[in-house]
Amino acid sequence: MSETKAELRDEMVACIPSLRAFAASLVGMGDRADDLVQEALVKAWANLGRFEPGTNMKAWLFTILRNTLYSTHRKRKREVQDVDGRYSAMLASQPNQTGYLDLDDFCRALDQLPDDQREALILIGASGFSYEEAAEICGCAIGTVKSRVNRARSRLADILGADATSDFGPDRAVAAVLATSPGSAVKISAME
Amino acid sequence: MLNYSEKALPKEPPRHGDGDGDVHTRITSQLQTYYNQILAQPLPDRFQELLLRLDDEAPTATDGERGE
Repeated sequence: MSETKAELRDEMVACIPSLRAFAASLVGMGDRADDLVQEALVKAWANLGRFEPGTNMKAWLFTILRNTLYSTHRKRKREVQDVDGRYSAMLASQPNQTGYLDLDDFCRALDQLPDDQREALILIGASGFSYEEAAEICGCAIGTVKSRVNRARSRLADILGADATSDFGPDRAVAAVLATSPGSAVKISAME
Repeated sequence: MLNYSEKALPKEPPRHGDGDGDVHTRITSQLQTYYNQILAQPLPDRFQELLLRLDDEAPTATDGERGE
């Protein structure tokens, strides 16, 4: 393997975690996401000669992954998953209980977004792409990406905002106090 | 009699606590937490195996489906 190819390979490898996160946001977390990443990597490797060194490897790989998904018969509805199961398992080692509960709610809300909005939100809000790069990855206009991101944010705000002020309001307030103030947690449990 | 048109009324000040501003901040941070949790996961073994397999194959530019 030439030095350039070795460098490109390393760049590709460095992008695998981001690709997995992007794939999980497109098709749900699990084997299907990893199948997609694997397929995209194989395609990218076979076409490495088409990659222009110096351009954005991550954006190139994201484009391939996305096209792999949309051009194959595997385009199915994003699998609805057991959010509690997958996230409690994933976060089991984390000490902050309030954190999991919030994240479970968040993932449920994310699941409710239309695919194109969720994808735009992930590219811009989490993967660190510019609007221009995201537009290229999705093959649409920059304005379209912006509008999808805005709609995704307001939809999430509606869902999560409603949760915060109605059903879960008081619990959240108590949870927040307990989480930030171990002293008061001890007092509360002592009073019970 | 005072008659305020809706336009003339002062805009509501930004709300705190459970207001929209708070929700948007929470969305931003939870989105990043969600994504970072996946980034931080150890790679499944299949990717190590895949990379070893790819290392044995020379990438070609002439054949194969174009990725885009």
